[in-house]
This record gives sequence, structure tokens and C-alpha cells, in this order.
Amino acid sequence: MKRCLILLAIVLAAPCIVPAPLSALTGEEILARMDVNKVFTTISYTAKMQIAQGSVVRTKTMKAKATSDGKAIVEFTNPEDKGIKYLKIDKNLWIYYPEEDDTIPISGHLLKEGMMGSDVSYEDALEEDALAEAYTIQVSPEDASFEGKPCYLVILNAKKDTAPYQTRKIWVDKVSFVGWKAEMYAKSGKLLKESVVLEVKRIGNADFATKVRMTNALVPNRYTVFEMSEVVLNPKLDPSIFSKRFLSR
Amino acid sequence: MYFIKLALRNIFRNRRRSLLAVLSVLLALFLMSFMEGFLNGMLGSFTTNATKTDSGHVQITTKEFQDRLRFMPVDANITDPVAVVEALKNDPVVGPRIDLTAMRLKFGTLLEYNGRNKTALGIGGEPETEKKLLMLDRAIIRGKYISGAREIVIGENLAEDLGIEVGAVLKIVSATAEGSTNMRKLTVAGIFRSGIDSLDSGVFQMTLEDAQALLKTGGGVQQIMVMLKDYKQSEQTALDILKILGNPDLTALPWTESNEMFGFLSMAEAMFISIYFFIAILGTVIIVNIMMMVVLERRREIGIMKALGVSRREILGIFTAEGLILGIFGSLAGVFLGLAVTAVVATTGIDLGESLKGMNFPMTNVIYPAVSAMGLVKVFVIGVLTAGIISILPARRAARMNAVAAIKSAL
Repeated sequence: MKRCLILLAIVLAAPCIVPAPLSALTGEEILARMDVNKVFTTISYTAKMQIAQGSVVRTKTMKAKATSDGKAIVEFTNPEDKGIKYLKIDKNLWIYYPEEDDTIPISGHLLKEGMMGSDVSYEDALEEDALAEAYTIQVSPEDASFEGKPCYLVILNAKKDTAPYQTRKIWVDKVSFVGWKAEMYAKSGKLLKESVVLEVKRIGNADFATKVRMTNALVPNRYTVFEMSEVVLNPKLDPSIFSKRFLSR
Repeated sequence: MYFIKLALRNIFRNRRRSLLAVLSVLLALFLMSFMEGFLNGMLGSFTTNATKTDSGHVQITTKEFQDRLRFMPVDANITDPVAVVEALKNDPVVGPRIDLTAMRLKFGTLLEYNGRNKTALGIGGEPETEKKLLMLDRAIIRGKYISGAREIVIGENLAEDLGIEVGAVLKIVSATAEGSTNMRKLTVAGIFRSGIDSLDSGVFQMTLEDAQALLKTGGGVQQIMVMLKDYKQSEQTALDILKILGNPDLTALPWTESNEMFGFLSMAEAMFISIYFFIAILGTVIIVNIMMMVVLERRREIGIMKALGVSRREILGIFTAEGLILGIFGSLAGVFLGLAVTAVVATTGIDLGESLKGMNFPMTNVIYPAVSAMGLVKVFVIGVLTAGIISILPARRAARMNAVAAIKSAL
């Protein structure tokens, strides 16, 4: 879908540069066009995450700051999770819990868990940095579209068993290069998750997917809607905020 | 009744052949009585552990919790468990039946220590009550049992996997009732070895208050376990508790319904009956074989008896009595041998060790066979009846033999 976004935004929001018309792009080239790295060096935003489980909908709010070279810090601001922070440096993730004033690295089994109870796993967030490494990329020769918009259908197949999904399909807008829709499949061919971009906003010179819904295909009525706001591109960020030491401040 | 005398005389006349028959019955009956003791011990351990570690005799939860039981949800709790327990204890019908009640939280969690992490099952309960249920205080091999807040006891294998010892501070991460995650740092007070592999390899216990704080349940618990003085009253008591609760969101289930292991228990019993049946058939085949051999070997004798005027009925009686007597001797010896071996093994136990590793059974790795008088009587009666009934087949063959043909065929 894209590379190196910011935790949830990394997975859920798909910004892109409006491109010049191109033809016969390879899968790698299409994914590269979606790459957010090219539109900012730093970013800050606030976000709201609505996690629906049947009739219960929980809302979480957060502030996030990130750099285009794979560093991000997210601080939750909703009352239940106030002060909990996520720190991402390249492929490493830590969670800071203010009540214990301590961090825990996210690794092993925890990678499969949903972030803050959402349908986005930590693995999803980390994997986005290295799609080309983990998957073979093909573009479907058949015409594809999303809600009437012509799309490239990019199909990613896992190179190794360790990839979280066997297959990913991404519907990428042929004009705006927004990854409108993505489907994630298990080895058995069963659909596991689906993400759909609900809203795109022009920020700077890029179209940002600012509202995305991730649906858990295995559990009925279970989905997460992630919505970004107050997006600021290239703000001045103190590099020291992306450190474990800074978490307890 | 002279044919009983004749049968006895025949038995003692060919002692080697009779001994062989007795030994065959003995072997079958020994296996059956030992199996009876072994499975009694196994199922007994299983039932006790399943109710104490998992369901209680009656389990009170929310209906939502039952619906999502597989996921051990931490957000479907009884909001005021203390009031529920008080109401049960004060009830004139249910109160006197209760032995003890326990409030519990059970949750999947991730333990982290010095960069190592492992998933585990956390059990939050009141330490003093859990001394009578989980009884992990008796299984402590290093350190001590939980004496207060911020302390845990952890299974030996789990501790080994994490590389921790007594005094280590673990980070425990879990999903909360509010739908987020939380972390709590707790100190390892003790390390236990219960003998139940699923406990030793994947379980730790903490105080109920710590579990409630970690999971942010606001004083709620997932289940209230009710242990009864007489577990046979569990079904009626569950119905009575439902009336007392008077809350459509709550449910009370007897252990036969709430404990997943009850199905396994029934299956194990069915398996036991099948094995029993198989051994009984094996013994039967041996007895039939030997009795057939006896009949064929004694064709001449049968012919002469018939020529002397012994009736079919009398011959049938002699051979049936012979089989029955051999059956009684064999069954008695088999049951006594089974009793003796079971009694010896009951003191040492049978260590199933490796074979139970990785299995999520609430059963100790060491099985202590338990013999019951009724069980032994049952095995003995089955042995004697089988031998007696089965002897009729060769006895009938003997009775139907033609005197002249029998004498001729034996020449």
C-alpha cells in the first residue's frame, strides 16, 4: 500500500502525490507512487479511532508525530488510555504505561494483537515498511475499479511463511494513486481483513487518506475507523522525542 | 449335584490344563481390576481438579461471558460480585449447601522479563480462598505463596522459559475491560510445581485486586465459583441460585454444563467401558478355546460316559460346572492380584510425565490408582459370569456328541 507511515496512519491512511499520467507501471512503481516519504520529512496530526465490536463502539483519541525515516511517537489522549504512548523506531515498537512509568517492547506473540483493541495489529504497522521485501508484487492485467474509479489491482504474495498475510490485494487509483481498498488473505484463501479509504483530503501537494475503515472479516460487526485531523506537514520536531527516555516525560 | 464333584475331579485330574485355564481368566481379571483402579484414580483426579481449577460445582457468570467463553473476555463481568456472594450465603436454602465461594478473573496475558516474553494465563483470585481451590500454596517449590498485593506465583516451566527466579519483577500486559491494554509490574513471590502440565507451563496467580487493577474491571469479576458440600446437588443448586440472582444478565451453571472437561470425562468413561469390554472378550475367547480343547481331548471319555447312560443334560452340567469353577478360581486370583498390584502402585503412583506434556488437562501427571470394593465385586462377577456362560458353548458340543462316534474318533 505504501511505506513508512506513522503507526496507525502507516496502515490506515494512504497519502499520495498527484502524478503525471503514466502507463504500464510495474507493481513496485505503483507502490512507490503511494509512498508518503516523498511528501514530508516530518508530520504531526491528531486522530480519532473508533473501535466497533458488535453494538459497542469505543473511541480513542491520540496525538502523533513522525518522521519519514521510520520514527513515530503516538500519545493517547482519551481518558481511559490517557498518557499511554507508542514509540516506533524503524522496526521496533514500545508501549509506555504511565501508571507503571515503564515501557514494554512489542515483539513475539504481542505482534499479532490488535493495537489498543483495534483491528489493526502491531504486525500490520511494522510490515508496511517492507512490503517489497516480504511479498512478490504483481499487477493484475484485468481492469479494476473502486466505486467507479479506475484502479490498478496490485497483488502481493508472501515470499516467506513468516509474513502476516499470504496475499494482499490493493486497489490503487490510476490517477490519484490513493490505495482505496486493500484485502488481506490467509493461506487458505480466506479473507481476514479489509481496509477501505472513506475520505481523502488534499494536504500540501498530496492527497491524504484521512479516514479509513479496517474491517475484521472473521468477526461480524467488528471494525475500526481511523480518522486523522490537524495534519501538519514538515513541522519542526525535536529528534529527542523519538527516544525511550522521552516517553516518561 | 454329583456333576460338580465330577467337574472338580476333572479339574484336579489334569492340573496343567486347569492351571492354564485359571491363568487365562486370572490375566484378564487382573487387567480389568487394575484398569478399574487406574481409571478411578485418573477420573477422580480429573473431576476434582476440573471443578477446583476451572468451574466450581456451580459457576456464576454473565450470559455475555458464557457466549464468548472461548475468548475469556475481560469486559463481560459481574459488576458487584460481593453483593451476589452475600445474597447466596444469606439464602436459607442455598446458604447451608455452600462450602465456599471464590471470585475469579482469568485472562490471556503476555509476560515480559528482560526482553524475553511469553503468553500465559493469569488467574486473579483471593489468596486465602485459592489455598482451598487451586492449592498452589502446597505446590511452592521455591519462595513463598502470595501474601499481599503486587505478588505472583508462577509455574516452574513458565518461570524457566522466562529465565526468572523468586524476586524477579515481571511486566504483565493484558487487554483491559475498557478495550485497551494495560501493564502492571509484579514481583515473583514463589515458583510452583503442581504436576499439572498446563498449570506449570502456562499459568501464574495474582491477587484479585491486582487482576482487577490490571484489567480495569472496576471491581468486577468474570466468575463466581460456588463449591458445594455435596457436589451431587450442583444441578438443583444452580437452579436455586438463578432464582436468587433474579438478574437476566447473569447465569448459574452446574459443573456438568459449564465445565468443558465434563464431555471429556464422559468420553473417558465410554472409553473405559470399551477397554473393559475388549479385555472381557479377550478373556472369553481364551476360556472358550481352552474349554473346546478340553472337550476335544476328552471325546473318548464323553463317548464312554454317554454309553454308560449319562444324559445330555448331565454332561452339559459337568462341563458348564467345570468352566464355572475354573472361572471362579481365575476371577478370585485375578481380582486379588489386581488389588495387590493396585495397592502397591497407589502408594507410588504412575508418572505419565512426558505423555501429558502440552495437553491442557486439569489432571496431575502422576496418577494414583484407587480401588473401590464395589468395583472389585463388579469385576469378579463379570469374570465368573463370563466364564460360566461361555462354558456352555463347549459343554453343549460335548453333550451333543454321539457316543459311538466320539469313542471312534478318539481311537
